[in-house]
Amino acid sequence: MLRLEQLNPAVKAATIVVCVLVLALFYDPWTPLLFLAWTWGTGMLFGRIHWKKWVLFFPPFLLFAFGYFWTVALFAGASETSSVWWEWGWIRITQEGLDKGLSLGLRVLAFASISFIFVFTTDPVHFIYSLMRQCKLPPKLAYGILAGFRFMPSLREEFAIMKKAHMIRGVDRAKGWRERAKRLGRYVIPLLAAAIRKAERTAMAMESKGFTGDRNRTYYYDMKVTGKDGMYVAWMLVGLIISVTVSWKLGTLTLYRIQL
Amino acid sequence: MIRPADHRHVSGAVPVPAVEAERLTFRYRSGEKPVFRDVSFSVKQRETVLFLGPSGCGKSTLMYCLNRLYPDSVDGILEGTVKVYGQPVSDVPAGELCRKIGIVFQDPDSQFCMTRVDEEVAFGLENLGVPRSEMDERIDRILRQVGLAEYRRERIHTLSGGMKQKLAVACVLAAEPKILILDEPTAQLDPQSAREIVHHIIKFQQERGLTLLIVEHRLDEWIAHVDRCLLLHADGGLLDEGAPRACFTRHGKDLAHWGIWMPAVTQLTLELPSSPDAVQEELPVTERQFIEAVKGAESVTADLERRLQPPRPAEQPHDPESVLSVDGLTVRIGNKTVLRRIDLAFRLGELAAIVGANGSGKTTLLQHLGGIGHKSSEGDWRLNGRPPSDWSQDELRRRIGYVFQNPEHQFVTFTVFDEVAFGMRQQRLPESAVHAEVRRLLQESGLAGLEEANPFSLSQGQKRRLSVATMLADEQQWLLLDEPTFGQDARTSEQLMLLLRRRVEGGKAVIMVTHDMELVQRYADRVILLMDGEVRYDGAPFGLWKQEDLLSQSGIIPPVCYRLRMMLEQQHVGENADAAFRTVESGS
Repeated sequence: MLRLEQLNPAVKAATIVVCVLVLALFYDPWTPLLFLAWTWGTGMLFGRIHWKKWVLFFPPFLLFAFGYFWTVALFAGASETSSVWWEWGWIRITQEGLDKGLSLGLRVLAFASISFIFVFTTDPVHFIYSLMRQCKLPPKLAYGILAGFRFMPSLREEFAIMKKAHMIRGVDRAKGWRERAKRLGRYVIPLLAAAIRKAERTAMAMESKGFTGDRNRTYYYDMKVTGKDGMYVAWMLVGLIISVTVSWKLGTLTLYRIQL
Repeated sequence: MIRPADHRHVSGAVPVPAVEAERLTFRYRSGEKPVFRDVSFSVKQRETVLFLGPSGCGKSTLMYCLNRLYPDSVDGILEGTVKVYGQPVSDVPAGELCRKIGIVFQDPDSQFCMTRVDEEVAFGLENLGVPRSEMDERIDRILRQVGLAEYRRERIHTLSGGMKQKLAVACVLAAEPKILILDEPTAQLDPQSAREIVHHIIKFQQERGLTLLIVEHRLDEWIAHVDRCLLLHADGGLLDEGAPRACFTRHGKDLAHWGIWMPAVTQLTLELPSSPDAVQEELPVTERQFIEAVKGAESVTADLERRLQPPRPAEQPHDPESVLSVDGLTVRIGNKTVLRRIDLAFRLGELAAIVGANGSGKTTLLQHLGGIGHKSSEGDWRLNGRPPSDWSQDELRRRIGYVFQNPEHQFVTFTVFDEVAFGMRQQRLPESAVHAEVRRLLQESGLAGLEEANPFSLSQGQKRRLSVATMLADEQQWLLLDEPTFGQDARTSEQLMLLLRRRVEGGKAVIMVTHDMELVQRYADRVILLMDGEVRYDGAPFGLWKQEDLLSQSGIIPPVCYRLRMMLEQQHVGENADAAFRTVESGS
């Protein structure tokens, strides 16, 4: 059984890039809709993604997609020949505009979903290791990024403390936009100063443990590419082909370039 | 102390020194004043050497030069040679040096680059090229040795400071170096965690025959294990070296003058008026040495007794209306109850200390008292009998000042002068009055002459004094401080405490969170012990020291004068018992 969590992260990421590029070629609502369904199915079948994550992270993209849809449906310069679907005052929605809007909106959702499948099933540390092994990312950069991950939680804590500390100083008593702009500077400089100092210390600590940035090292996580990864790529490509074929059979398939 | 020498590395009779430094001089840029100059020393294998010197004398820089972190990672010029087991460090390939010298740094938060505990240990092993198949076993072994086996898969940022330092030690020792540099490894830990770290390191030293080079401010835990002290002076040259007792005896006055922390016993001995000449001639650095030296002198016992009864200032007439109180305060963060039904009331003219183990809720309580606590809390907060809704943020801030643990968090302007003037300017005081007041405060805090400096460019001690000065400027009646002497040298701490004491005697109130029981004993009128979010003791410091169960549960060690007093008493009892025993024996 294929398990998304066990797949090679670099392969998973590459698959996203391929799917996104291919999907971008098509400009009809059906292809992205079918592929969206395929992605969700993949997530449910092969991933262990808690539904709460979908509920939490999907709505912003839904809103974004709807915004896209609405703008395009309203304002896309539809040709005069296109049949009018709905008209009210100056609002005039044509079949063509609707299709274009749906297509763009669904495309956003399809891109989001396939990215979620990656994000929700991949340990970022594994991803970086995989980039080092499969994509020849230099260790200097890779471990630098990993060290950066560690800064996030502490940065958030520090920000919370600073807000309280500034309240004590009465900074919030200051009114007006000029004062407010100054306030931002007051947050940024200490945070930046602390971050730079921390980064220097971390770099020294890494060096003192024998880190040279050399590729000649062993790896704690062995990020191999196996047959399962090939199966995953094939599975997603099959999904793409099915989406395109069904759309073509329905007679709705539209290539991006032709529309222009 | 002479230990069996390690002969593995040499064939001759004299073992090669673990570390040899010859005429080391380091400067950041050519022509600049060196950070330290012409420092030569040699450390024997398995020796424990403590480096002492005023802050800014380049102790840490010297340590970084020994394992080539400087000048490899920093622009700078190093003259002289460092040899490790007879080999110049400049000949050791980068990446191999960590097999010879390991270093543990001060800040528990910035010496890791990975997310999880096992990954961090693995990072070091990867650097050494340890095959993946061996990693798991080696990670397990080293984590077991520092007592972190159960935390193998935890995220590092969820660990306490003490656990992080244990992990740092584990990571360094995984490379199996023979020499360990310790750059203030306990400076940011509470006493309980500090003790554990020292215990672990000493255990490793005995098991693995490590050579230890220590830079540390708080010496009490280390001093009994130290073979030799190296003393650097303010200009960065080597002043003296010798056994700890000899060193402290010869330079006690200099050390005090430079603000260097001494072992608490040594400090106490210097201050005791009655200590016999024999004690002053060779200052004790451990309690055992003290007890042996005073030989039960009655005058010493009396002196200690007197110190334990802190001198109380004449009771200031104070406004009975002025009370800061919480009633039934309960705070939950997530599903953890951090504070449970706390009832406390504070008066003006009182210096109160809040103590307790890490995670006992001290800072949460202090923040609540200061009106900046967690929102989801139950219970009443009152100032002068009025609930929070009766106070505007403005009025509140004019009455309660709060000093955070890290002074940088509170800086809001770009010069020292503006920093102190900030509050007064917000109150729209006339600029001439502001100027006069700021000058006075800067003078009082020892910051005169630094008016135009950027607050961030100050030294640790200066930053702390500035953060307190900004609070004094607003003349708040209530001053709340979170570990005000944390990371400060001895002199800064004392100046700060005297400043706070003066305020209290002037009829204001100080409430502070601290781990330092010497401080509590010397300066506090009242101490509150928190344990698991509950108040377990509230009263005079002396009363707390007697509560042995409470203290051991919270990992608190009573101050040195109390410990010595008890030891003298026991010795006395012991002698009487001995005498009684002999009488019985001879009788039978």
